[in-house]
Amino acid sequence: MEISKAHGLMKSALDYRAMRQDLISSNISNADTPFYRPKDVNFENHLTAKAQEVFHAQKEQKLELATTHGSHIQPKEEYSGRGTLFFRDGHAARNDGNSVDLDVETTEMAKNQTMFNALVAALKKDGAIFRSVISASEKVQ
Amino acid sequence: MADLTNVSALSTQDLLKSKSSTPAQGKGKDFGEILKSSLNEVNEMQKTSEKAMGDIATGQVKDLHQAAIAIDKAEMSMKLMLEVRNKAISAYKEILRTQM
Amino acid sequence: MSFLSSYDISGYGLSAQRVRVNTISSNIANAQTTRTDEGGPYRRRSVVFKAIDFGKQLNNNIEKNNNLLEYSDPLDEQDFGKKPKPAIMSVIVNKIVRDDREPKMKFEPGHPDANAQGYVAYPNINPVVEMADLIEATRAYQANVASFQSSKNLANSAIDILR
Repeated sequence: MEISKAHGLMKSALDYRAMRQDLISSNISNADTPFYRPKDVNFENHLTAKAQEVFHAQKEQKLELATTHGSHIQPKEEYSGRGTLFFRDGHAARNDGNSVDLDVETTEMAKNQTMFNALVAALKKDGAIFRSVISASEKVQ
Repeated sequence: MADLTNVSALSTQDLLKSKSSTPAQGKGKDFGEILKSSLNEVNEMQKTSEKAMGDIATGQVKDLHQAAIAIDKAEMSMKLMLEVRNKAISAYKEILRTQM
Repeated sequence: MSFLSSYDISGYGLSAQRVRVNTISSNIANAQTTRTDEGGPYRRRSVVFKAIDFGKQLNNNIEKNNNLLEYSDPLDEQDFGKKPKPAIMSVIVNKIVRDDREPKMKFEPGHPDANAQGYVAYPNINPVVEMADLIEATRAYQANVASFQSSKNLANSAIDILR
């Protein structure tokens, strides 16, 4: 039984955003470590594809490579069905090999925090709507 | 002075016209149709709020306050519809209780 | 996340001002440097800022329509048939330029870097000017932080609708 169509999506979005918060705080604490590259998780594409599946009932339309012979090689999978880690080194590294930009990290942390708060509030409202339907009949006289 | 009397005469004429036109039109909406259309409206608002929640999850939301307002409207309309339903049921029970 | 691009605008401004502060600090630190790897005394460096158009990216995102909810654009003037595109600009550091004016010459015959006439070339850096620039850059950084906080407040108030 699902509370609403978007409930599962919001739950996995919360998981990904919590992981992103951990990665960003580890980036900030490693702002002085030599040869450190800031890491982040990229989950927006995966969740968008899942949302298209849930709402429009269409799987992601990919053009498959036609393999007519046994020794044909499949192309490298671009979209693997879940979030991926990537390195966020936007500009040149400093002298000690560290490429953490404190301003970018704090901006990403603020964005993540705002979206996390929005997700929590939306989930609460979702449950509240469901609960109001359940508890409506006890008010009938 | 002449203007004032003209204006007052006009307003009563308009009132009489509107009162006489409604029974002449004949088909108003009956209660069942009103109920069905408001249920459809509540359903549409629920679907819109689900889309808004999907947008917040994927991060593709263009304006957070628009999504928040859509979700809030869905909750309000659902609660209102439930209250109307409760009133209708208790009115029905009241009618059943009339002794013949 | 088009609505969160206001965070990015302030974020880019913060990065740019930080680069400027670092440049000014290196100028102040090297105010008496007479030898460098490239030969000659230290030359004063300054940053050049450039405005980049966030609006194009923002409008592309709005028109891309890959979100589910209907977006009602407040700037959409349907009566006139035109869609005004707001000019949302942010800033990046375009280049760091070197000041190639003549260095200051001081008469110090005993200095290891003295030329044949006994003059030493010192950098053309006025510490007072650098300090004034440093204060201005610090204030600009703080102003960017204030606008960031204001954007954060807006977003949090929008979430409060749901509480």
